[in-house]
Amino acid sequence: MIGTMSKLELKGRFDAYQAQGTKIWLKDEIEKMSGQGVKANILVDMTDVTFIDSAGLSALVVGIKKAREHGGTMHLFGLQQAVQIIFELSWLDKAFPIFITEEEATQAFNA
Amino acid sequence: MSINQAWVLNRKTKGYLESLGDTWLNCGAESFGFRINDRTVYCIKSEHHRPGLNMNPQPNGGTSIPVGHFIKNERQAVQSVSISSRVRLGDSQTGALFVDGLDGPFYQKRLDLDASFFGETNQLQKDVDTISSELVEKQDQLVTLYQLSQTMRRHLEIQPLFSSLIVTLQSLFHSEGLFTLVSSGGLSPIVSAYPDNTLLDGNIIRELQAMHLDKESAIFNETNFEKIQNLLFLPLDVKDPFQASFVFVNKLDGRFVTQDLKLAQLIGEQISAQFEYVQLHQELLTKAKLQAEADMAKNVQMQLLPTTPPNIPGLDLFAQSKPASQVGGDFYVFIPDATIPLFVLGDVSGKGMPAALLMTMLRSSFQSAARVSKLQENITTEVLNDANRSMYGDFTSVEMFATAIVAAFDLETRELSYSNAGHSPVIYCPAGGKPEILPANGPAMGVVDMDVAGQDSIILNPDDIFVICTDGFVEVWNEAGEMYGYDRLLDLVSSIRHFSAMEIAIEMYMAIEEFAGPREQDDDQTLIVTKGVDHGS
Repeated sequence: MIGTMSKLELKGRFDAYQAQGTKIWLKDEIEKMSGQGVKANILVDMTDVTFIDSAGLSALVVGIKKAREHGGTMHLFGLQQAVQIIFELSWLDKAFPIFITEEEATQAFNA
Repeated sequence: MSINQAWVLNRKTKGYLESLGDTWLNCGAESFGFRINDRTVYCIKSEHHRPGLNMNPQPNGGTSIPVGHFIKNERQAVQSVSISSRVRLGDSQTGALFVDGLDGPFYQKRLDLDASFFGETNQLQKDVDTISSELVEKQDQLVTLYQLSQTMRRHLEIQPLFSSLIVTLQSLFHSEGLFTLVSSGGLSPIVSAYPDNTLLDGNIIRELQAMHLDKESAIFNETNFEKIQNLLFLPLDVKDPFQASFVFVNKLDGRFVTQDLKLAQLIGEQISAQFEYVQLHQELLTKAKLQAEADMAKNVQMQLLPTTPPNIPGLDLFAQSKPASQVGGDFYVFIPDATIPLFVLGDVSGKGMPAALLMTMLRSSFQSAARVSKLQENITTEVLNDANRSMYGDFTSVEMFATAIVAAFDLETRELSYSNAGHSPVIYCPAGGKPEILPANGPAMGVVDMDVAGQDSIILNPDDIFVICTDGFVEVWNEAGEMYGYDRLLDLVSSIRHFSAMEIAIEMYMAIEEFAGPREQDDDQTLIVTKGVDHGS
């Protein structure tokens, strides 16, 4: 059921410059979905993200916490190796559901 | 001056007429006088003509004139006139000198000359008087302007500056009242009236607010307002977001003229400049205050992060923190008096004051958790879980999180156990081996509201190195846009492993500074270097 899901596509360096806008987008989107009475499921396309720093991670952490508060969750897919390493080193690969492909990530919302 | 208005005989003119009259009387004239529009304004008679000094009744009902006296408005005073001559007075007035008792062309010609001379003298006198009064007025204005500039210089706040200007300006422009309009950031202007509100009403305020927006100086000598006959509107050219205007109302001595407007504009420029200066002064003052507060905050944070760590037997320790701005979110803390010596390093997400505030709270949470723990074996897990529980709510409400590592060193077994909440990089470099990154064994703090901290351990023998630093040592970019990264960092640690803890730290700071080149440090840089040493060495 793709209808109850919003998709976020991130690109390039996901650092402090992008993080602030993303944080606001996530909050608005989650509140909007919640207002419509649907689960706040967020799909994040990381395919084109080449680098992520603590500000970027912070935006995603805030996003997944908010999504969970509203009965949903956040799925990431397509992490490049450099980004995957940062997730692993900071143990965030255990905190976020991470998938290889978009299809897997989407289907997992229905599992 | 209208034709009916009385001609005023001033002291100088009277003196001149007296001397002229004396000359004529000496020549034999019985009387000499000056009249305007058939009204005698000066008359002097000879002693021969009127014996005695008493005011005796005349046969024709007239009044006798004492010798040497002049009279006004007494046509009857002159019974007869032998000769007279017109005097040009200007101002549409006709005057004449007259003489009685002497006649003939010679005297007529002489009287004509006197009349002509008197007219010219009178006109010159008038011109001199006008110029003098203009000079006096200009001088008064200059003095007032000087006082105005002195007054302005004494005030470095906007409100007192305004108040001091009002009294001086009102007297300078001879106005019954003065209004001020002050607005900020496009909001409706606030209208104040001096000396009181009696001239104000809703219609006037609306009209003035519209003029305030137009910012055009102008004079209105006719208005539709009941209490206001005329006004002079003067907008000031002050710096955004402020806007200010002065309105002079009801000129006490007539109407506002172009000269008033010119003077007002000149003064307006001076006031605007001073207003701007005051604004600038206030801004600098605010900045200085903020800077002083930031400096104090920095000092407090530096006090919280001592570069001399406590002595923990078996370890050579060194710690340091360099925030990117005045204060930052990185911290470390040593707790040697826990059941087993502990040290903690953390990195609150974000930078500056918000991160610094949360950092001090988190640091305290770790200290409290470490001091109440009775455990020895799993103390790092318990301390991390405790601190996460107490801070989770705060992290969530301010939308931040922190990475942190808690480490404990057991001298007997030389085991260094650690619980790492998402922190990186943590580098372990055994004396004979290659340096490696130790991954986290739990999520960052503020991410999960559960006790999920893990624990791992290494053996730290003498010359083994355990370095915890913040991502400010990895995410450093050079001018070519390359990141320093983990590989360079591991190579660096390997190459300086033989140094002491302090030397290793200094080398690490120098290496990333050199790599960054002229680029400014944009992340906090904090580290704890731990090197195993023989106990007692």
